[in-house]
Amino acid sequence: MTLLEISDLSVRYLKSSQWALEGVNFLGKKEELTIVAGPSGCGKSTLAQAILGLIPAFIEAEILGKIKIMGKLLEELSRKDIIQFLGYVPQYPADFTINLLVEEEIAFSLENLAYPRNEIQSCIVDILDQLEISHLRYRLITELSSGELQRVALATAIAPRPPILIFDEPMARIDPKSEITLARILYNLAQNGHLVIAFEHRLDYLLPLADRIVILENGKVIADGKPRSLLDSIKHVDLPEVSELNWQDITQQPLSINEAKRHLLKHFSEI
Amino acid sequence: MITISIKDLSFHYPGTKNYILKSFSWEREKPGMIGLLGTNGCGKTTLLRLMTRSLTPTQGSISYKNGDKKDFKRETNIVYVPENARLFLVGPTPQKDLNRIIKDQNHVDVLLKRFNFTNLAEKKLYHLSEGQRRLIAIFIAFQIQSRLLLLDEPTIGLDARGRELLFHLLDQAKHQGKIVIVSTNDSRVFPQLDELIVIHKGTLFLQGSPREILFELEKKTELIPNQIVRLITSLEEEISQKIPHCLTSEEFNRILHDNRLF
Repeated sequence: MTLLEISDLSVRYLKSSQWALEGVNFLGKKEELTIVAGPSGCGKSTLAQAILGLIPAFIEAEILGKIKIMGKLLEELSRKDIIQFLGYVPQYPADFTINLLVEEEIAFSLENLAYPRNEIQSCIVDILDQLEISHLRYRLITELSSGELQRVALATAIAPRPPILIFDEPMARIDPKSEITLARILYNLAQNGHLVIAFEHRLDYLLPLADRIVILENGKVIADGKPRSLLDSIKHVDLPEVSELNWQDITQQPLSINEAKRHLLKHFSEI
Repeated sequence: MITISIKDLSFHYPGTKNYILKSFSWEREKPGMIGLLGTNGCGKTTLLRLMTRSLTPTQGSISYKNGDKKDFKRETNIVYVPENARLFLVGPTPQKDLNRIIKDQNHVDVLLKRFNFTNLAEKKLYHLSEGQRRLIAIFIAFQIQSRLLLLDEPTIGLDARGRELLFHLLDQAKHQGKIVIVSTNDSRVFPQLDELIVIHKGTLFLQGSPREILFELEKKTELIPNQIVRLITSLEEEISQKIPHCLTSEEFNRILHDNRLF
């Protein structure tokens, strides 16, 4: 099922002569973990903000092309529809918090969608548990470190279970062990029927789990497909460290540590 | 040459009794690149802010010595780039920010050209992406004639090229005799550093060179090293045999090509 359909999307910021995005086409399906990668300034955040309608609602820009969410044109959706269909974590979650306590922050969007009180409470417990941050529940938002806040922002976006989840650099600020957990969480969300789009540089643990990677360069999509088939194009963006390994007689590059280990053991047992 | 000495440092934010740092002591005399590691919320950013003196220690002290000279003006000698790099830049363009530090326009032009920033230099800061802004902020921070440079999560939003540039600048700064302290969760930065400090529950838990620390990290802490180190550790476990320890994929490739894995 197609949840998100972008056709011929071009975006040009006001007073800018260059197009930030040019002719982007994208079909996003249910149960898909997609990574959008590309060099700094290639248009990743612009694409994320355009899908949410933040461009042009907050940031003025000229927009060509169409964005359809759940089969409806973005401009025809009400604000309530957008909140229900899309979950979003921006690059700087700290700019978007509104409450004092972590649990209030997570409850906020649920309250606005008129969830019953007991459902909100159980939802808070579930989501904190899922993201392994139950210990943060009664902490003050202002006291959190940036990495903790990042995970609270993810919880807030995921709590109402919107079908489409858009994360702008979800792995930033996260410590390496939590990075592995988080990659697994994003994968599970996709498995459970969400379309998860992660705009990300840190691909070490996320790429092996992704169904698809879209590579942007200068506002254009230059590659789109299964991660393994595109390792050559990702080289210029960022490869997982183990994919940078190369040895004779093995053409297929590893994506994960386990794959690399298997390849290595096989190769050296043959010598 | 600058010496930093942190003695018995403890800190909690006013209004709370929750100590973020407890009896933290550390000293550094030699120039170099130092990494602060620790799980989210362990006190990395707080330590950096204490070093800039924008926070005051609850107990203990942080002192700086500038060679034999007694005076150490922190305003001119410490540069801090916060995680939100927007706060570091003034604008309206990267060029204007650079001009505030380097008066000689020719020098500015040469720098911009050498580091491939010419096309970004004239753009308004709000037209740049987060990653570009961070890269520019870091680049400018390195141009300031300081002794101590503190970078909070410098790799967020940086692509492979940006990270290369960061490593290059770090190296250059070391040769200029600076101490650079990088708080980071990006495991790819770990191998590039001279010294790693692992903070755990507010105290200094491990300290040493990446080669010593990274191979111990997973066993001793809640942190994990970069992928190559993990690969080597897990290979060693599987075949119960020592294999050469290295930190980066380039080093490992060299070992693979020489076929001297076992």
